[in-house]
Amino acid sequence: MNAFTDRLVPIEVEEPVDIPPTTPGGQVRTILVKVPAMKDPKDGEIYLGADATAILDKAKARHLGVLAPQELAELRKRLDLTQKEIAEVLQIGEKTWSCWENGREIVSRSLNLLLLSLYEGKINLPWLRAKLGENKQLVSAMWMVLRIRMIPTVASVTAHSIVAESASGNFSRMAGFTVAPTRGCVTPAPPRFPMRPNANYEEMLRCA
Amino acid sequence: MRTAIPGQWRKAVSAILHAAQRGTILVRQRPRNDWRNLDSQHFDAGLYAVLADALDVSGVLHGKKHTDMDEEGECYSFTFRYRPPSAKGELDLYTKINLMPDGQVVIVYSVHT
Repeated sequence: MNAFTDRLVPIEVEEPVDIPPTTPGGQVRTILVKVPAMKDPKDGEIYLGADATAILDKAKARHLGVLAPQELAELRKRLDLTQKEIAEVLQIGEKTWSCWENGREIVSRSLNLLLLSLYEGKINLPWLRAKLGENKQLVSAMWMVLRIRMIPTVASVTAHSIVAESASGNFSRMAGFTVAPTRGCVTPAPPRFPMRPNANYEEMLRCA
Repeated sequence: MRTAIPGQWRKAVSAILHAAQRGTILVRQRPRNDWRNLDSQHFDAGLYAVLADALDVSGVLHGKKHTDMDEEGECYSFTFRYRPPSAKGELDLYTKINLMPDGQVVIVYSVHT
């Protein structure tokens, strides 16, 4: 043991926590949170440890409606994933996840909803992976169709927009496709709303 | 006097900061508030990660050895570049960290521009 740590006296202090605005142009709010601390009787200095940090971070996260860094780490470990693996599942960069998990940045609000659902057990990892698989199958199937059947220059332009659209979940609606992940094939489905038939659409249906 | 911070000290302090186990990191109230005032878009835990990353940089890290501290241990101060989440540019941050003689506890005395 160290003489210094031995002489520290446990106390409780109120520490300020800044809550950033959740809307543009909003103001930073400051709240006070009680945390355990240690006081050095020799010079009166107050020290905060990792337990205080976890409490302060959770208070901040609660006010923002997001998961705290410690909760993100707990979730990842519970899912038995590495940082690289969870980043892959969420389709984000490994560095982005790392910044969220170690508290350098606040988790994105949109992905927080998904993470919160995972944390609370409302969705599970196999479901999320299946969705990821569907998305990958859809994109690769479309690339295959475009490469084989269409004029390369048109394919290149269209494929870029398909990748962008599929990422936002609009592609299957746009093209009128559904993906059956268990069979790994693409099957045509009637469009959900009236679509203007065009050559590309007809061609895609024929290929599928 | 500027000196190269020993690799062994850097490694030990970085490991403690990365692990962030209870009872192994003591941050003075002042640097905690200086860190809070830097940006509202990061958490307190971010300080540990930022300091650990600063120590993990490849190559020689220059700093100053402090032998006049009240607390026992090996203490160094150094500056490093840090970009807060909402800032457009990087800042030069100064920090002073002590590694206690048992090699298990670090004290963060300062973190400021």
